[in-house]
Amino acid sequence: MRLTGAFLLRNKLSLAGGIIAAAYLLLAVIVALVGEHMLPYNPYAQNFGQALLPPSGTHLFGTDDLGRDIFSRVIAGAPIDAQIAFVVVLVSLALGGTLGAFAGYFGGAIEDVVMRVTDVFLAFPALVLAMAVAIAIGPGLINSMMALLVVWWPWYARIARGEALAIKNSQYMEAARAAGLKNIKIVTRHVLPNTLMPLLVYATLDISNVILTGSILSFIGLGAQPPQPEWGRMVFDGQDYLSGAWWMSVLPALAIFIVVLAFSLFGDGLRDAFDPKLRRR
Amino acid sequence: MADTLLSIQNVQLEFGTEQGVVHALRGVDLTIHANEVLGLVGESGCGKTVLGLSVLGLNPSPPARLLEGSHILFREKDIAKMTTDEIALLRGTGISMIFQEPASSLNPVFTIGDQIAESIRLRFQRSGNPHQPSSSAISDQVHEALRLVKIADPERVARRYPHELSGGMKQRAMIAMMMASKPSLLIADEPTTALDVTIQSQILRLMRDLMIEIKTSILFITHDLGVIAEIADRVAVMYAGRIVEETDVNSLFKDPLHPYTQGLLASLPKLSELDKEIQQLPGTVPDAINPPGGCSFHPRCKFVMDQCRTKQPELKEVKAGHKVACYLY
Amino acid sequence: MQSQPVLSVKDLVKHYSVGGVSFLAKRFGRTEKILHALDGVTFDVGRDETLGVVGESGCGKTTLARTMLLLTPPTSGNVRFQDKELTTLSKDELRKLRPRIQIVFQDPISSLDSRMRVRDIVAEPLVAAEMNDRTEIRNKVQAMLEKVGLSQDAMNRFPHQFSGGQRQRIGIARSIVCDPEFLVLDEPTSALDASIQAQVLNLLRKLRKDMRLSCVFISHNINVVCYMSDRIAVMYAGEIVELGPTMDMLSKPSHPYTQTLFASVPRVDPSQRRANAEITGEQPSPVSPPSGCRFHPRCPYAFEKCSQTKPEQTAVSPNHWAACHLLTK
Repeated sequence: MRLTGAFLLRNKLSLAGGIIAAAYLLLAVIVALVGEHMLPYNPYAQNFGQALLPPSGTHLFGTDDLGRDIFSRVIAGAPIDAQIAFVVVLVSLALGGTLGAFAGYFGGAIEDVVMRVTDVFLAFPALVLAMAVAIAIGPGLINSMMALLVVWWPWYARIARGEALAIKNSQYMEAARAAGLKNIKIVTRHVLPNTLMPLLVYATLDISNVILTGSILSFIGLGAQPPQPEWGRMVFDGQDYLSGAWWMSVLPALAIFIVVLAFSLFGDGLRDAFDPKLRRR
Repeated sequence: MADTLLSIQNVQLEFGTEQGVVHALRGVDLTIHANEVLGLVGESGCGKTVLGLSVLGLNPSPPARLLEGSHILFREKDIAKMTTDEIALLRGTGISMIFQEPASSLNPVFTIGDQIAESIRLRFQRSGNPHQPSSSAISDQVHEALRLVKIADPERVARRYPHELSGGMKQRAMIAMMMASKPSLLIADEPTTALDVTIQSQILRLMRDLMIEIKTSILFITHDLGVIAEIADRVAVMYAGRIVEETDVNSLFKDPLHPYTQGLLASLPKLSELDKEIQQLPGTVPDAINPPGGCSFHPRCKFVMDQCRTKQPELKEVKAGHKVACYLY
Repeated sequence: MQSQPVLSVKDLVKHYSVGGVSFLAKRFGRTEKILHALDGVTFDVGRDETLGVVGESGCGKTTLARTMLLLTPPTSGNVRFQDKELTTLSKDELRKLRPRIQIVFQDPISSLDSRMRVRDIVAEPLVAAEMNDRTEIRNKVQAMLEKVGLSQDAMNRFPHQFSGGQRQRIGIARSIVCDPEFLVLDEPTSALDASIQAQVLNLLRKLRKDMRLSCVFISHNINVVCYMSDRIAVMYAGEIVELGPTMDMLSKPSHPYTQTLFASVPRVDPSQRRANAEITGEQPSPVSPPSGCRFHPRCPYAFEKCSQTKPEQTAVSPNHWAACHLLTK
């Protein structure tokens, strides 16, 4: 990876995005490991006497309708979307990408079958399909992750297949065949690295899409269930109070926005750094 | 003493890139006379294409930058100081250029005839002639131009699109387009490199004939010494952004003075000397961002002396009509 | 031939179908067009011998390189390597034979996987031959790098860190790591500068002598092919039109195409400028090649028989034949 610090410094927005994204991930890891002990308040502790308090010195983001401290809940909720996004993207990349690479390299029946299957999936808008699956298998965080997985892998299969097609007849592939390499070895030594590596850049950009879609699923009630402090769910919970206690919905929504934007900007910068070097094959 | 057509003086050009500043041209002095073919020969990265493009201001500017003190004199005007509009006037009237890949200069959505007609019309406009020639007059001139480049069926070919023609035909069409404006100077950048050898010999012959007929001079840029031997009257050898040797073609091949020229000639397999092993030049083509100090060739030179490493030798005339930049002389 | 040839190619044919004729169109009698890339090529290569294959664009020499090694399955014909008939082997048997017949490709950039380190690139044939001992692999790779003149620290670097000439050396190292008996060189120096080309050609000469390799050297550059080959085959429109020892071919080219081809090569000597044998026309279409002798439309000596019957291989001298009706008149 020849991503130079010099390059990132030149691309300040992207760098800023990268820093925020990294901070978010760090936070998610810390919270996941350490648990809620370091938080100012217990994110699940209800306290009706303290309900719907506006942001202040004691409650940075105010409290919700059940008296829970929103700031603590936002922090506690950080790992949830991150974990889901990573799992979805990594699994899609690994399984979908590999399937697509095989399809592109071997062609024939394998390619036809894989492509027709992905065609079916890709015919639906991602959110609609995710919703349909989530409704079918029932609400819940793990279920929403499954729904996202189902929807996400076809994109990676498609892109990987395209990349595999592009390199199938390059001279180094011919050289590998001329050396007497078995097909399966050609796939592991040449096809997979050359198709999955470019996909990594796409995957980074994609994390924010998954976070967004996941939050939306929770926002419509299909994902995280109470009392989980997932951000999308928190926005949903605060809907009824928008005119009065706006902080219940707006602040978690702001958190989603900032994280998604950060990943997008960073991914853009990554793509700029890698694409020219990728294309120089 | 032949008339001087183009006088390139101390041309220095650099490019900014991500990796650093590329010193493409580091003080090039060259003169082209009327009615001659000057061969400019060198390997990749020596700057020959950049020099050709500089004459017509075709290097994209940023990132390319012509440094102060560079002069390119044509008809008493300095091209280095001209505006883009002024140079545009020059292109297609006084100076024309053809490239290695004719496909990239030919517009795929217009017929050959249309494109040659366009260049003829432009010449009329730029010559300040108030009358626009009639379309049938232009059509005649188009066919005349195609006949000039020995295309057998000009009327039919004029109606064709570029993709319908072979490489050799496209190159002839390019030459027709460029010659239609009857330039005083034609800059040809590797015009035959992409062609088969049998087609190449046809095109070279054609260019020589045209040159005599229309009285055009040619700056013929190539890496192929064989082609130079075929077509050039005088030759300039380029290395790392500078001219290292310049003389008439016979002297260059019979009596090469610069160690680079000698090495280059010795490294070519020749049909007349197949039993001898070719002498290879050690090392690699110099890095244009960090060229070697002093004489750029010194890391590869078997005659290297102390002063070669520190100070760059001047291009001096050491025999009649034979210039070389080397401390050996 | 005293001993059995290392490689024996007989009547090798490779046709591609082009045109993508739809199912419906086929019902109405439209047949798919056939591209005649190779149309019956026959030759032998003996031990320690290099056969050069020369020809212009579209002659089929690139297809020959691939088809000869069965990297592309031939449409018909035989390829005999040592005592094995390659066209009858199973996929697995063929695969296991590959380390003994290797190929060096033209493009130094795309023939190496840019994501792999040099040591993995060079080790690839060893991996294919199922060598598992890492130390042995590393030793072999080191030995190869030394043989091709690259330093040991090249092992852990990536292709983009090397120059074109060095990348070609890496490709050569890869092709010889399994100690092959036969090497196909497909335009190995065409993408390199002249001074680097000389280095690589001399390296190849040394290697083939040390390793007692039999080679087929394919190139469009006639000087290079003649320098590197003991015998030469001239290809035109998918067929070999003349084959013979290099010196014989140069002194007595018998096929009109060979004569034109050799005459078109620019000599590196301006005193040898000659009125080039003007050849007319372009390379024939591989989809509908001319009837009879494929060269007849462009041949200055063509007579009636030439457009009707295909000429036979006729001996000019021992080991030297040409396919031309003039020789049997």
